Amino acid sequence: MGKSKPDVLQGTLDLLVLKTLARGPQHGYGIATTIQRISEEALRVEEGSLYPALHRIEQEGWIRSEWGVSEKNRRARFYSITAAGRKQLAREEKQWDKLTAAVATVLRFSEGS
Amino acid sequence: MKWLRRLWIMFRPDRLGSDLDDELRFHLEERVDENIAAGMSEEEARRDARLRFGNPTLLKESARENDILVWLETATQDLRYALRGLRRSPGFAATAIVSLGLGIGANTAIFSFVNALLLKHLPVPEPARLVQLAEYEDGKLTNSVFSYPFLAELDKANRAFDGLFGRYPVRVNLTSGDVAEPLNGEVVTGSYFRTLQLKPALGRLLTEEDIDAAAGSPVCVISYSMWQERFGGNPDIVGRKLLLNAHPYTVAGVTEKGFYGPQLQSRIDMQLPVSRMGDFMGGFFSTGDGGAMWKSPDFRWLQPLARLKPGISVSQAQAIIEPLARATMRGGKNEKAAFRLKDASQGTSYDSDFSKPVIVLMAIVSLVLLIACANLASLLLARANARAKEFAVRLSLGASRWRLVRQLMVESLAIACSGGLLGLLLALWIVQTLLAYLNAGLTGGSTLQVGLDPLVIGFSILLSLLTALLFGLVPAWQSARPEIVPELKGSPGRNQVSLGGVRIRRFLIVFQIALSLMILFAAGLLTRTLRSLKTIDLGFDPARVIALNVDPAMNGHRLDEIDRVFDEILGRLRAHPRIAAASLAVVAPLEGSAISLGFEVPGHIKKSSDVQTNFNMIGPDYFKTLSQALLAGRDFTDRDVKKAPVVAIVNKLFVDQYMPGQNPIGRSFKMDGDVEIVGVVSDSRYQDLRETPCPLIYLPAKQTHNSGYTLLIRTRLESRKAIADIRDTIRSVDPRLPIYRIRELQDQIDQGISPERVLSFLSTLFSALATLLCGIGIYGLIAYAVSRRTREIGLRFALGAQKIDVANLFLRESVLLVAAGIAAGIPLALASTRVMKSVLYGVRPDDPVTLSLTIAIFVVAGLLASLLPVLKAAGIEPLQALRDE
Repeated sequence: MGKSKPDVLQGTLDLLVLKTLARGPQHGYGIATTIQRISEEALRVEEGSLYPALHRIEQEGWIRSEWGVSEKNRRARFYSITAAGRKQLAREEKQWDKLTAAVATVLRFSEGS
Repeated sequence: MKWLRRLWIMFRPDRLGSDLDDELRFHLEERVDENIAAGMSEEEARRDARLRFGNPTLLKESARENDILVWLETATQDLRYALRGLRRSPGFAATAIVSLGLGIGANTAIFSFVNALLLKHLPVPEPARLVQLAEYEDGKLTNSVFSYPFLAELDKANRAFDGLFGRYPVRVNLTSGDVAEPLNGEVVTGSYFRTLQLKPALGRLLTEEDIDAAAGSPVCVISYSMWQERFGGNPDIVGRKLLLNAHPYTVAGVTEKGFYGPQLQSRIDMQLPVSRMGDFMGGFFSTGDGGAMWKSPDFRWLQPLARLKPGISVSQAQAIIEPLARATMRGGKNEKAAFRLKDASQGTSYDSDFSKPVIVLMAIVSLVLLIACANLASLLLARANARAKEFAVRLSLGASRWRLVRQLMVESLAIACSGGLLGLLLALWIVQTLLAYLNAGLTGGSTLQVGLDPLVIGFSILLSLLTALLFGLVPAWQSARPEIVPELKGSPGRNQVSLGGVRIRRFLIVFQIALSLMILFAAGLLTRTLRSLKTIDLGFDPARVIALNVDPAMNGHRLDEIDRVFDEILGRLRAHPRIAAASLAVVAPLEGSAISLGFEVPGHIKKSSDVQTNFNMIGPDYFKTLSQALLAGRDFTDRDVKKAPVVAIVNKLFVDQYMPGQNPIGRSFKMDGDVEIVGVVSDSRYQDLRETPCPLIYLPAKQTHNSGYTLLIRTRLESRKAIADIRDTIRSVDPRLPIYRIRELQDQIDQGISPERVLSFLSTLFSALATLLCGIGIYGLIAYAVSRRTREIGLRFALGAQKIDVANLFLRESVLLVAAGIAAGIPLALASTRVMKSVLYGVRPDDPVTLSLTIAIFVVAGLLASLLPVLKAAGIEPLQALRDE
């Protein structure tokens, strides 16, 4: 029933969310805008899939959430990374590096031949 | 860990529903603010914010899908939906639940009997290691009782057993003051409790030393129930003296709760040392040489039971035991005899009279359940077809197939659970009614414990779930894939699903009819069996005859007094105005017991079957009491005593077989000495109703050694009213005489065929049920066909068809279905009844009359079931039918 996403994309979203939260607690909107800003608008988080992802990651135990007040004095849910989340982040970063390195190798190989 | 965390999250109160709404609202508002800051109008800003999000409902759903709680929530939603749906079509719901309830109820009830009769194990540690020893010859059981020295030696010598004991059931008369109380006990060897590995609830249990010491100060062990019921659970019971058959015994201890001896079908309340056998067998065994009889190697009487050592299989043990047993048996009189061990986890019990009927019934009720399930499947299919449009709409609106299947499954689960619950209640009622019926006329002694224990309840739950799964899944899957477009266009009946559904339903009906035919045929045969048994010519008249047992040896009368006591009793009974005649016999008619002895007729060449024949030891007036005809010669009299010439009365079959065409009066045959035949009587059934009558020799009771007799008394009026008089008369001779098992002979004979009675009654009931379910199935299918083809019928009428043509259209369908069902059912019925041959009597397993009757019933039932919908079809108004579409 739900929108299904390719795994890679979903995995990537997890990585981005964890990385963002590693810099400090954020609310959902903040996470989306931060990713967008830092990636210089290259990465745009589809807002429709952000909250299901946050919910899922929280259930995995990598992040936790609590209600707080935003800069504009609005009630917002703030997410922060857990110890387990940091470990997961390290794992995913390593995997990502491996993946990109592999892709790069393949690309370079194609260029060379 | 993960699960724990999930659960924790699940129960956090702030986590669901409005919570997520708030979060999304915050996000939207932030976005709107930013958009406005970037120069959009407020309306534009809101629109953009929402567009970025997509469908907020869908989003919320996918966000929440991860929760177990959500799963539960949708499950309850489905359940509510299912219940609502069922409430909306109460006819469907009631039919489905009741037919399933009847099926499950019947199965649960019969299964609880199977459980009690066939599945219960002895309540001792590791019953699976218990085995029984028996002698076989050419694969046939020839002997299952052994002498005391044989068992004792085998127990000592072998490496296969953790103990081997022998036991013999006895009647015990417990007297206190002037009150006599008969109870069931058993004499046991010293290894009894060691082998069974029982612990005492109180005091100690019997050991080898008690057997040896028993001569001086005998002890006994009583059951927990007896301790509670008879002695109020008083802990002082240990060491208390009890007067058993007029001998003082000391209570050594109490067995564990729930233990009633090693025979599941009868309740035994007391264990006694084997060396005191004489106290309970009376007469000969209590005095002189007889007193040492229990340890004679020639006296085979003890039922053995052994416990295998851990890790030793039955076949291994058998290999160890076989040579040992042969050696121990010494003088091995029979080379062909082989010793075998067989499983005794259910105790030393022999097959109960009810084992076979219960298996037949279990087969019948499982067929009934299958039929009920077929009905359920058929109903669900019809219902699913009727709702095809609804499903098509929901599918096109984006519902997933899985969700639809799940909803339908939940619906059939709801039906199954309600049906199961109804079934349990029904089973409770059936079991109670049946037990009351079976125990009527039984005076204590029976411990058939039938009830809804966890195993039985588990069985019915499993049954419910299984039916829901099996018979809900196919219709659910079928209906979750309608062709959306034609359904929405409103042209039902043309798509694959409906056709497929009908085809399946037709098949189900044929299947149901075939199974029902099988059951009905079996029920017919069983009913005829009962009738044959009831109309058997017994050779005597049991009406108004009362039988009862008295055993003067049980309260200390010596052997030489016993004849005098019985003379006194009979004399006083015969003088009573309410009593027409009275006599006594060692073998009461049709009780299953028999005495078989060897004899020789001069001039008759023996065949192997002639070596032994059946005997009965009777008093004078026996034939008068039973209204059995004396064909020639004279009856026994009080003058036929020890010192007088030894005489006998024989039946007609005896004359036919041994002295054909001759006058037997005055001739003799040989036993210990010559026995002169003084009378000939008509033939009668002796041991069992079903037997073929056989030659029978009657001897005068006083010329033989006996202790206990069955008194037979013919009353002048209604026999029930005379019972108190009879009891008083006997008590007037000796108030402490134990009188037990007072029964009317007719009742006892009826009791003897109660398995057949129950079988006939229940199989008839269940076959009626099966036929009814079939009828419902046929009705449902035809009614559905009529409603589906309403427009077509309207058209036919409009084009000039007659009512009879339309009626024929549907009648043909139902006739075809019934014919197909019958055709499929006949071979099934004939094949299955061959299996139940052993429970039939006086009727062939392929009895053509029963079969024709069965078929006729189905033809009528089929026609009746289709009558209503066919009439409805014939009465359709063409205009209205066409307008409706």
